[in-house]
Amino acid sequence: MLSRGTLTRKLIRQIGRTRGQFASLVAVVAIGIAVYVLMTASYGELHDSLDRYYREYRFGDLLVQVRRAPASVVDVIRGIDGVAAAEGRLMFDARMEVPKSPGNDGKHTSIKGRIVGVPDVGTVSVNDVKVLSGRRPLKGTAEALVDPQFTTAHGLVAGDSLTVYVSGKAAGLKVSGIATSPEFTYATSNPSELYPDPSSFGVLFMSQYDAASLYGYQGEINQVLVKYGSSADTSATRVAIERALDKYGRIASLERKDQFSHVVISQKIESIRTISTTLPAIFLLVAAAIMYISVSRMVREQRLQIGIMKAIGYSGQQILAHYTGFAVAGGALGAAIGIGLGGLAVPAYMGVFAQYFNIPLGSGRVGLQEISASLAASVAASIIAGWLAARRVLALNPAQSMRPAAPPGAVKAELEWLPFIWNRLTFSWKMAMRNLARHKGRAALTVMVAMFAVALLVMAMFMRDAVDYLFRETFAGRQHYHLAVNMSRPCNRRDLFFLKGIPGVDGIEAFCDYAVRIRNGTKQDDISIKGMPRDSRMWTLVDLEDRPVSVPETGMLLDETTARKVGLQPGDMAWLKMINGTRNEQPVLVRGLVRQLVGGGAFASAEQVNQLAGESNTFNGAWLTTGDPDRVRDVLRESPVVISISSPAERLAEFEKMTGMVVFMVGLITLFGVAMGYSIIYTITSISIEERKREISFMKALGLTSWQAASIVFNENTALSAAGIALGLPLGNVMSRAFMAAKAGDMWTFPLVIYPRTYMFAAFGGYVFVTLAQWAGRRRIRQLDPIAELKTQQG
Amino acid sequence: MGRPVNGNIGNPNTGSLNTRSSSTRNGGAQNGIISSFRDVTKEYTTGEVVVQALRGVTFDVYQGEILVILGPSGSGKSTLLNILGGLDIPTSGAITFRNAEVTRFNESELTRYRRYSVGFIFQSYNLLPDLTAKENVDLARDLVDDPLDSLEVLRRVGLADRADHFPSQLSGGEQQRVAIARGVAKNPELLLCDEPTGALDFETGRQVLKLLKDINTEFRRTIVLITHNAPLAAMGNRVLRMRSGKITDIQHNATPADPERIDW
Repeated sequence: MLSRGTLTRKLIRQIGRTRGQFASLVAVVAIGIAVYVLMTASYGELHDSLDRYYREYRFGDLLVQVRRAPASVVDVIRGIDGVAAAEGRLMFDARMEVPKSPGNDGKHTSIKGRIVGVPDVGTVSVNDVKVLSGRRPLKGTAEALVDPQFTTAHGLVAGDSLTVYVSGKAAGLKVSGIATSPEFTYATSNPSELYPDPSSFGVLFMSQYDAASLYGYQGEINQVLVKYGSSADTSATRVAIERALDKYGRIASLERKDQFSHVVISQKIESIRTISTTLPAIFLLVAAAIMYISVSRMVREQRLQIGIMKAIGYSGQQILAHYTGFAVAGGALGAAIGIGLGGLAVPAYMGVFAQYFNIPLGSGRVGLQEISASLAASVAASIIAGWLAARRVLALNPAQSMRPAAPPGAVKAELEWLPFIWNRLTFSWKMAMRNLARHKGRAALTVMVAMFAVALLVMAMFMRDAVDYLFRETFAGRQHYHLAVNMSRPCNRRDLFFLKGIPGVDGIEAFCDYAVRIRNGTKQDDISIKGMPRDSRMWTLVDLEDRPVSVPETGMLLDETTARKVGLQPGDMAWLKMINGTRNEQPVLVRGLVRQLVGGGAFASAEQVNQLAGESNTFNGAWLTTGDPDRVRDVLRESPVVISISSPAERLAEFEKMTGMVVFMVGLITLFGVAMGYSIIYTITSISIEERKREISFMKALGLTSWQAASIVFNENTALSAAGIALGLPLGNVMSRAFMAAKAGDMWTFPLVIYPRTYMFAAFGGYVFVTLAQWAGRRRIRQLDPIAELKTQQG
Repeated sequence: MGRPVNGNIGNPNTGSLNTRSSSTRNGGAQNGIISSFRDVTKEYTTGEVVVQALRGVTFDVYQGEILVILGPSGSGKSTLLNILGGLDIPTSGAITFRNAEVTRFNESELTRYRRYSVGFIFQSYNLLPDLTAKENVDLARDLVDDPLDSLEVLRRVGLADRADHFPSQLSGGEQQRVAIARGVAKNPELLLCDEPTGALDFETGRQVLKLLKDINTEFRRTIVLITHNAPLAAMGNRVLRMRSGKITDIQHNATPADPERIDW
């Protein structure tokens, strides 16, 4: 019976002797597997948690907004074929105030609140509310449950008071607890907001009865929520529901797949799934390249030992398995470490999620599936790489392999064809170039890995550059006002004079902003259209060539993302219908396209938009410039007609805080890129030193310093790294472009913005990993004993 | 080809060292032929050079003998030994071992031939540097079903107390003795020695030769030894002389010399 115990011991000692290379290999595998495990487990947790949340709290399939309908209409809806459950409720947006308290500095006093009515009796059959702490508000008590981010942002606890303004009148509410709902997993006041800002927007769940009293909707509703039956013909059911509600002034219907929170979280979960496969695949490929290079080198170095083992009677397959074992050991160990690291990181990642998404999340577990898949992938990659590298042992004739290898054939370096460059090179550069020419395959692999490492650095910083540009351009580059005011109703000239007359207001531009449905044939989208002064100085629009443009006198400018969605081009006629209105669709000419980084939508003159809305000389918003925003804000707060006040400076400041997560991701990916680059350069350096140790020793014996003697190896690294950096920078641009293309169609348009400093950073990163790897190799060179090396026989 | 079935294999139950029986104690030429070369040629290419290493070599190897192959450097003796040991394949000709035609063996059969029938001892010892003395011996014994005990074999070569030493911690002579132990531990029928004393000083070389003689005498192993050192021919039962890839002479030694009496 054959025992491989002795060969295993040999393998272990081989690993010990080449522990630096082995550790590099293990590190790259570990990073790739850790990312896979983290992302896959997180994806699983998010997907399952979301699914469970939707199921347990009966997230509706359809929401229909009407102007006003009797509550009894819900019974009619329940009777429609295909409807499994239906609820009616009220939902309004209102201006809120949070009084100063020990947990709240009172600075954010103009807040938008979304009041959601919750049925008072029985179980809520659609869109139930999850009470996280406290209790449901009791009917007639003017209480409300508040969303968790909002309570944290304002330091609220049960028993605290809030003020909401309804038709200009203040109404006090008491906080009865904290709650959330599947509808508000990503709580923003409108789809154009990039991220939740709980300091200026919150969701309140009130008793339906109290909400009706507040708004004068007793016995009435303005929203119908529906769950389809499992075998329902959803299209037909939806049509029937809409038809039944048309007479109540149906404004909009929204299926779950279009619901904003659902879209955001679904896209986020999907992007995690994408990362869980692409990034680990890159790392495993790099690890496989390192394995291939290391094992190839080992087989070449140990051809005599291979011959001896064959002479003793080991078969080619046994020897092949032995050398492949080096790769497999690295792959398996890397996978084990990666699984551990990834598993440890999952709770922290879930914690970060919980800051932005209102989903009841578990801490996330790494399941057997992730573990098996990780081990299988890394062991498979190891076996393939190791086998490819070691398979030449099968062909090795034992007698031939025990003879010294033929001296390497004379190879001309490519540069030798350029004598005016070649003749100027020092001898160590010439040696380096010839050695590279001799090992073209290895050189190509090294350049490829270095290229990916540098590209990864570019991509990491691009994400930060893009978000940074998006925010700065949006809030500082294009919005030139200090405060934006939204009104609760259309306003006229008198209201405009009031605003102008506020002490501290320097400039003012009025605008009107309406929600419209834009249609082009069968394609449609719900957007906002902004009517603004043609010569606006407070809001800059730019065309697709980034040139400032003005809104036309008639017709509109359309954001490129919206245009792409509905298939419109300049010169086309679009059909627009006010969502909150009774007027029919009207044709509006698309006069041009603009690039809006956030929000999309359409832009037209105030007159054009007024005409669409059937109004005349009205506005519902204004931009203000002022030298004293706080003072102006104080006055505006008192106005019953102002529903919200916002400021680009505040949004930018919030963004600065929010970029903590982006910086973390950028830092992590940068670290990965440097680790990848270091691993390949270190492996190549180690191998080159071992291959050239006689030459290096000879040069040391001649009288050169260690550094000078090492230059034949380091010059190779420099040449390979320079090629890797030179190719990695444009590859990073391409990868960033691909990332941007993948994101196109999302809520926001990520610009392909890569600041020059990003390229410099990536190139510097390349320099760092090469330097670190060479520093590690230099130690080995210093240790070389010229006497011992020059006496040692080859093989 | 399976493990050769032969009454001279030894006691598989004990794996002991002195259970081989032979029809002659001196391992003389009167025993049967266990291996033969018939008109064997070998050409090989190193880099851009083509070398004709063997040119129509014909001879037999007899059971239990010490066959010395003598020739200067480049005479083809190493190539002959490699082909006899299944490390290389001839360009033409036929080689048999126990009536099996080795030249027709496929890769798997050649591996089994090397594993079960042949033990090699190289001039440069060729121990695996990552393994201790005992582990180098285990490397070979792990392959067969009835090996000799590693420590016992090391004891026989006088190195039981160095079993846990790595090759770098052993002298040349000690390394060569470990190599002999490795070659013998598999219990092969044929022990092939390629210049076993080539890298050793005189005294150590003599010790190694004595050890080989003991193995031949006590354990009845057939030994084929190649050398360029003419005085060593005296220890063989037969001496084949080679030059330029051909056998030029075959001589019988009626009374092979004791290695302790050989001077070079």
